[in-house]
Amino acid sequence: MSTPREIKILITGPMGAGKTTALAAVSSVTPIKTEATNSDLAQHSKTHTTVALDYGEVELAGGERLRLYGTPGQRRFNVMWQILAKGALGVVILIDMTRPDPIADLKDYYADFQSVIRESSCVIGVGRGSENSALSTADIAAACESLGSILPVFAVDVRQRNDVLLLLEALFSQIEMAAFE
Amino acid sequence: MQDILSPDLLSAAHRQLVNLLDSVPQIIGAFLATDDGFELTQVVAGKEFEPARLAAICSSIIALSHALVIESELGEPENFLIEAKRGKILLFTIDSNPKLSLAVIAKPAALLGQVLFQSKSCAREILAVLS
Repeated sequence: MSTPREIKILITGPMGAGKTTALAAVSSVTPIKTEATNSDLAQHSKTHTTVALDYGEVELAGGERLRLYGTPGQRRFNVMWQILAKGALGVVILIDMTRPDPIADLKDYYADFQSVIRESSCVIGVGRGSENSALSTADIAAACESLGSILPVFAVDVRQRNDVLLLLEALFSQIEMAAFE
Repeated sequence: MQDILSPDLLSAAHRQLVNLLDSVPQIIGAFLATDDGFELTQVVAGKEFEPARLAAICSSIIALSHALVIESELGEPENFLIEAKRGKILLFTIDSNPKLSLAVIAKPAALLGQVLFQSKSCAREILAVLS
């Protein structure tokens, strides 16, 4: 089985993890954003939050075109999660190490996107606060193992195009390998 | 979540929803929510809805529709209409501070023009209350 040349990828994770920023960092087209004023300042201090999706596109070095869909982070938008998950071949979960319990976040999103992850591929990007956190990327990798998956875990600055591309290249490699199994 | 509206303002906005349902009997529900999908208040007649879930979905649909209108270069969107077999849903953005969403659900037999006119009036009244 060969890998399709156009591939749908999800970027998910908790509110404020940097999903919109990561997508914008790599997209070759002007991203489509659906942001609203954030009224839940107790949850996060940012002014705006994604309420439906972000959309962008990126072409990898091998010519493969990835269609990137960023999800809203908050659970109340889980209807959008289900809609966006349809047809996805891979998931990037971004983890925010400044949040109270990044491992609980990982487990939550892993469970919520289990159907996509089981049928396709997943990588973990450890973003904000990784340098000051008591947890390391190894701890996140160990948490993935405890869930029964050995997943690539990368420390990334989601503002940096090369960091985000690293995540996407790793994910694409997984997808290709899965296609040949 | 912090309180978005004071109890007095919320009560005043709620009264406008009550007035809307009183003005058009075919309207079976009106919901006020924040732009980012938190329910604030609702008035329903004869049918139960899940306001928290509706608020989040309305927020997503309005944002998506907004993106479609902007991509289509049609200017600023005003309202959105969904017609289904068993009813109609109209969605409005209320350009207050904070920005809010109004969802109005009507029976299939409802006259669209009447629902639209009264719902727009309701949105304007809520904007006036909050300004």
